[in-house]
Amino acid sequence: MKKSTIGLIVVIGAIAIWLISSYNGMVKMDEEVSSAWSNVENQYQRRVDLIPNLVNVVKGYASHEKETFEAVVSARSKATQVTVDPENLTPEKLQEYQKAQGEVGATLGRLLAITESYPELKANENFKELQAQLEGTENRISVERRNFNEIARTYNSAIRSFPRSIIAGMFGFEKRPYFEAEEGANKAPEVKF
Amino acid sequence: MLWGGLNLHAKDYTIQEIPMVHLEDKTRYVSNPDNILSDSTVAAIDSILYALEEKTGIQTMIVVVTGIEGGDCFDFAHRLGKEKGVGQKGRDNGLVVLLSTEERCVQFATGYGLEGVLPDAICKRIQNKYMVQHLGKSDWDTGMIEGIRALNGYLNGSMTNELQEESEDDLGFIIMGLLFLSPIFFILYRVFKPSKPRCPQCKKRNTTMTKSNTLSKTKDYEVVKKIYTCQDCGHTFEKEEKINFPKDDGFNNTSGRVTPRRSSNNHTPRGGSFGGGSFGGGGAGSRF
Repeated sequence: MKKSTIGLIVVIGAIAIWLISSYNGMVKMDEEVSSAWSNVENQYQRRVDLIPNLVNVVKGYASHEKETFEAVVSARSKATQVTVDPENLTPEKLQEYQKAQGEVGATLGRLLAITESYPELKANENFKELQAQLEGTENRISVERRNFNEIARTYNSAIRSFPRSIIAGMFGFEKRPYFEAEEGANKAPEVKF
Repeated sequence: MLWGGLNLHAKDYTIQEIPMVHLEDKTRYVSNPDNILSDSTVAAIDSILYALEEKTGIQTMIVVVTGIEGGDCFDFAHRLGKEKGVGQKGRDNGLVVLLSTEERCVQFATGYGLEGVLPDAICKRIQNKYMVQHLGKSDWDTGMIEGIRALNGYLNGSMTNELQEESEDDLGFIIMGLLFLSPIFFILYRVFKPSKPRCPQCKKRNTTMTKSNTLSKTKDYEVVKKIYTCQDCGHTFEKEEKINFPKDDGFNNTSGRVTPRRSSNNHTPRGGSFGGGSFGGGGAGSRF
């Protein structure tokens, strides 16, 4: 009788330890997904922050390309309105975010395309450095996106594998969406020198 | 890659195929498997970068090849840095410079810790000002050496080569842990390693050794016969114990132990290492 009670306590204790450790593990992974997401957002924000300077420099040389400027600026203001709280990162939210940022990318691509026909602009030091910064930001965006996908994938497979999936279900850990492969609109504008 | 030997002009390297010269020799940084750069250029770049690492801790990797798999210079340079862990851990001060002659590109990849000292715009400026004009004329030596000199100009003095704090922290943590745990280990040891044998008659541990004789002795151990008396019931019994002698600390014992390879030549340089820095996509690239 006594021995079986001890055995029972040991089993319950072991289950409790396993429960606590896997819960904590999932919390940690969830935090990692959130921080990877904010890294992605930071880089997109950085790109958006470059736009006013870039537009101003281009305006100095190509003032009549009004439509392009307006398109970039409106895409920018739309994109800044779409923010995603990592706590409720659903596939729909992510798609919306990606669409808004994709629009920014596409209009930026058009802006850079028109600069091709202004050799003086292309020789401007300020413009060259802005272009380098923009290119660097595009690279960082793709790095952080890939990083986010990797971390989200680790998290998703952890919460969906048995027996963890039971705890994940109990405490409401949800699957995270991934960034889709680059679409045409979302591709980094080709910056040629 | 068997076809690599047939095509003399363009071997497309994968990340794994890039020779890691720095790991074999800590004074070398230039991976130049196709001999695109001359020996004197390689030596000059190595000496600049060795001095730079000694002074600042910044770890660099220069890769000059005929071609890269995939053809994406940014991606290749970034992955080289990330996968090989260029840069000190925690400081993330790694720098990768890639030159691919087939793609006609030069690409810098900066670790997180270098993005402040070497922003993308500066990387681009160095490439435009010092490298592209020479590389465009296929003057690889001049382009690379000028570029590395310019990079060194920005990086030298930007930081100091402090000892890696993290490893000290780890060590401190381990020592603290051992200090806290040692009483527990001690108690466990006392509890679980009884020094006295159990009396076979009354099953109590209250015995004392009254006599011990050495029965036999070899180089490695001796067998001792010990006579115990139980304090409770007065029963005496004997017990044989095998006592192992402590081994020599490995100087004479060569079997099963890998000793670091010592070269008879004192000038043989030691291999270097990369610390595991992280990269976030910093840097810039140019085509020529």
